[in-house]
Amino acid sequence: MKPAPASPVKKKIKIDKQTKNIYIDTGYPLPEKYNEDIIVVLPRDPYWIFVYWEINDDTIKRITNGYSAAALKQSEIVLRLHAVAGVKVQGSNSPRHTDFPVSLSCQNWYLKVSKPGRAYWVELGIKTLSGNFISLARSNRVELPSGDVSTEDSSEWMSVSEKYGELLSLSGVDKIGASSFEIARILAHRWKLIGGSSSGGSKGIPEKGISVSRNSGAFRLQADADVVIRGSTEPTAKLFVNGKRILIGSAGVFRIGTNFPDGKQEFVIKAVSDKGDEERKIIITVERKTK
Amino acid sequence: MEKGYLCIVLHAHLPFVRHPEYRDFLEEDWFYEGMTETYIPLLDMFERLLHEGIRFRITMSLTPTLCAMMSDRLLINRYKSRLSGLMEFSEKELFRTKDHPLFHKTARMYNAKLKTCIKMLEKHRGNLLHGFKKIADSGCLEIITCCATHGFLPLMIHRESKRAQIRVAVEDYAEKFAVRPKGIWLAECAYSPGDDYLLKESGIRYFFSDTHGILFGSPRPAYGILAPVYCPSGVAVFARDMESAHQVWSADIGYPGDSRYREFYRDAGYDLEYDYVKPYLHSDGIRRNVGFKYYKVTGKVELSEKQPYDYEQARQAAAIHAGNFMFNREKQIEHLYGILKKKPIITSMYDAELFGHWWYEGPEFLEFLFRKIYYDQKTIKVVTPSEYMEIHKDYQVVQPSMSSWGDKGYNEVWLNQSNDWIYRHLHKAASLMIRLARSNPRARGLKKRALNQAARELLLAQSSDWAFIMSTGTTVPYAHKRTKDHLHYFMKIYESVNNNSIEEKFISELEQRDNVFPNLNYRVYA
Repeated sequence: MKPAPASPVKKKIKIDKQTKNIYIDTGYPLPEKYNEDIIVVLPRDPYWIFVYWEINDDTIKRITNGYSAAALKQSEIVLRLHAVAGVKVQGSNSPRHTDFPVSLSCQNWYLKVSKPGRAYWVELGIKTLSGNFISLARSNRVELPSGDVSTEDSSEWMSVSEKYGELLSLSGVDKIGASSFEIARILAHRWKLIGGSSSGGSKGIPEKGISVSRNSGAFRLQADADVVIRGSTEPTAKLFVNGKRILIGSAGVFRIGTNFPDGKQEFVIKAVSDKGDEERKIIITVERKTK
Repeated sequence: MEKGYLCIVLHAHLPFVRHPEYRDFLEEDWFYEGMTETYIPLLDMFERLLHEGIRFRITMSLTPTLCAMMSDRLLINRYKSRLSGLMEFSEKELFRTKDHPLFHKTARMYNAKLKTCIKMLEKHRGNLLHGFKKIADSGCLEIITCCATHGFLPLMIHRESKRAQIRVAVEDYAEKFAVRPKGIWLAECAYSPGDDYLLKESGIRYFFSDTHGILFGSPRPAYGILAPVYCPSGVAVFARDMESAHQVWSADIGYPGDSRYREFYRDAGYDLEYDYVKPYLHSDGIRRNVGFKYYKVTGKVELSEKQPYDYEQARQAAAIHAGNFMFNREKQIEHLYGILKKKPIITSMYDAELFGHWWYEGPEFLEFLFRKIYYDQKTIKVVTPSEYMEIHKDYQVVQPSMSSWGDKGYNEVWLNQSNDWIYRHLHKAASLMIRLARSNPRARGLKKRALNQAARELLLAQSSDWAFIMSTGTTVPYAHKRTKDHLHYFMKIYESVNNNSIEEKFISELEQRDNVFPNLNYRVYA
């Protein structure tokens, strides 16, 4: 980890607040879409995958053409997360895929995986009430880091293993906060505790509050929370959440999901009419405290 | 006989910020301040040590974008006029402070330092790279390269994109330093499995990773991070030592927090009478740092409570800290040698700009450290990675883990809700660039220029600095502008190439503005 220097701000960040208001050139606009069908996954950390996609309306029409209206009724759009077989499966009986309901128009999502150190890919599709899955697009494959000391030993390792803990500690690993061999795993430990939280937070300080586990023997408890912001506006309006343009569905419906770390978050939801002459704003503040 | 090695690595980087279209551009200050406070003082120190025959060892990445700025005539001319402005201010400060001995002492220090900057620029004919190259030729400094525009490799989905970041950097290094780089600093120390093969392709022999990149590698590294390992490709990796990192970086116990050191946030640009400092501010007249700071850290007190800075006391602190740093490394190495029965290598990695810019006395700390290591001890041998690799050749083969040195150790700083929207566009542009390169294998004349410029615009858009700035929340509009502008120019070129409607004027304008990598060949994307 790269902690902050003694001064709390990094290089490049030395322009005081006043200037923020003066510099208003934020560059040329980017295309809203590229008229293609695509889904891409990116690794964020051992536990989280970022997905973005674009699917054309025509594609959906074409693919769903053969299905009756009844079959599509009450269907939902899901991201289907697939774990790639044969990559470090650790004797788990977890299902080979997990579905995450999303809205097509939100165009990106963060997915949390149950096991780090494995390869994953994602499929965007329509899940019908009867359980059929109509695939719209398949992503690339991504390999997540294990976030832990490898269980795989090599022969050289054996020769010094007795003193490995001391050796790691002398590498300064314990400087992150504790002592002993167990703490050689400090980074891994931290990751397990926080399950890869998403919020910024101050550098180097583990955050609480994501997917807290209370495991003792066979009796398990795990809890986590996400935030979903949904609503509707005029189909022709432009919608922004915290300044970021969100594409809305043809009926003016929108839905965006985001993870929910401890602390307060504010969502400024703004709709601007297509002519730009009218504007409506709703601000939602959420706060999470995990104990 | 030494019992272990110390490898000190400084990563010197700034994103390419150059705006000939404006007479006065705020973000160019990053470069001017870096020159005055970090790059020139470091080079000056290296020259002094070498002159005195002190064989020090340091490894520095001078990133391709920083090298481009250091050798850019426009930026250097602007820097020179900045320096003469500051010299004028400094003369006034000598007069203003004449009745206050401590302030006056500090004013004299600034005056002398500015004179050194001017002298150094003259000495190296306006290009510090000449100076760094000389030190490198002596063997005391090993200059390595970095991803061409500091692109964040693990978040690129096209291998061609990653390859271009490496190849363009290596070619650029070869042009500037007349040899090929042996090592590379991956931007943000961000590595994902497989990237090492691209380094291998370009003849690079080693790179650096954060501690957990190796500790979490597979199989377990036999010597932890105290010996380099080979990636499956045969490229070596040196991992960061946390203990020595902590001593310098830590907000609580780190050396730079010592009360005697100079306080960064108390600047004359804010303290002095407005009309007096106005000529030395930017044209918008807003109060900002001018780099003259007269107070010391003092302690945990309000900025207004800070006490006057005393340069000599701060120097003493730097000497003590250098002694402490060396003592700790000696103990660390002795102990490890006892355990390993083998000489460990301690890799201490820092941002170069920490030394001088943030920690004003940082270059002096390094100077004291090198002197002490040279004269006062026998336990530690300072080495560069390639020197170490000459002596020791057998390493364990380990597949390093995906990792970065960013907060939390992976990709989140560059992939979160503030900046995740950029990847859709960056990836799209990369795929179009690859298509352009493949469908135009032998472009000539204007078309070739257009394709080369498209590659430059893509590379500039990929700088990890923009995503980083969006993440930190300061000067965000500028990061948005840079990302979007370069992507916009890229798309315009792409369309004009496809429609056979390339405008010479447009291309030539971009070539003059975004003039990084003048000899780049777009075929690197094919």
